[in-house]
Amino acid sequence: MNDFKQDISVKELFSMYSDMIYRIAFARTGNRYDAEDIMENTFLKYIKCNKKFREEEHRKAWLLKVTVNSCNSFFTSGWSKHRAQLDDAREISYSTEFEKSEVYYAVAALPEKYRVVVHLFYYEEMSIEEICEILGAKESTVKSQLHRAREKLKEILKEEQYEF
Amino acid sequence: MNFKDSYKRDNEKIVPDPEFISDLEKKLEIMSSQEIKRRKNISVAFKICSSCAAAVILTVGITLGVRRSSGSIDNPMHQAGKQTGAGSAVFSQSDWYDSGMTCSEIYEVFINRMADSSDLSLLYRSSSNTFTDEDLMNDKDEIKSLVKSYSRVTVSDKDEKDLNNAVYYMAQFENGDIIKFIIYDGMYVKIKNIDAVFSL
Repeated sequence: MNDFKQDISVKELFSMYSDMIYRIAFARTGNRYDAEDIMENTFLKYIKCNKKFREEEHRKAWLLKVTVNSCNSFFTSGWSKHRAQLDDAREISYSTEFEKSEVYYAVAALPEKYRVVVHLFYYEEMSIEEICEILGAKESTVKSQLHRAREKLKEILKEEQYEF
Repeated sequence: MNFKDSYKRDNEKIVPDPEFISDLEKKLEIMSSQEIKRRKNISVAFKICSSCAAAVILTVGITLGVRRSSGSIDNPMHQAGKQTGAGSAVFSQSDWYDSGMTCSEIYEVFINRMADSSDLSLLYRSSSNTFTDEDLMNDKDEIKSLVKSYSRVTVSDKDEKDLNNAVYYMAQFENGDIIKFIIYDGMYVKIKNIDAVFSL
């Protein structure tokens, strides 16, 4: 039985998607404050657009697309370009409230565009096709980015011998 | 060790600040109710404007004896009056998207509307920026194929002035919106009044 609800309350929206949006924004920006800005921006667009969805997966995909686009806009904005480049991932102002593993730092050390692909593939468990839809990219591009990300991660984490 | 499990474990610990969430939730609840009121007001205003516009079009039509010109139907006023009947208002190109959207988001709105057979009313294709009845695309499969071909694009760094082999399109939608776009070299899409060039 299809129990999809087109109109959900702000509370329901937050309970279903705030963590998902925050995590992907955080994966991309590495910064709690920027992730919060991006999350706010995404929810504002949701309310303003009043988009009609066919099903819950459609709503989720839309929110992810808007989040990724907001991250892209953030990085191309004049303000972002003037920020100092940080070579060491540990210097990025992450929240210090939780302990991070070497895996986390390894992903943080990846180029920005690879981090999103890694996050969508490994955390959101999306297929390549679904990731292509979200990023508006070709399948070959996403596969190539994922492959390069894995190669880089293997290099960084070589001593720990992780399975991918 | 499994990378995926470790990565998931780390991410489960990443949650937004509860105070930020609580503040944002309150802000959005207020915005949400304001948006609902705004849409209701627009809906009422639209109905009033539609009726006034319809009366104006009808009056002008009767007075001047408006008929199709020798060929050019580039004027959207003509198009709306002819195709959608006297009950439609004429919209400018900018009304079909939210000005707060990024170019990629605008493209997504555009391509979704093109793909929606209940929304797309007519599609014209021409080698120039004017369209005649002969430029109307009648083959639905061809239109579907065209839309599918250009459904996945990315923002390109190409400058429009460097692109060649332009094919001009004009799409008209059920609510009277008109979107003009150009496809260059079979792989670059430029929507009128949108800054970005999109590429396959």
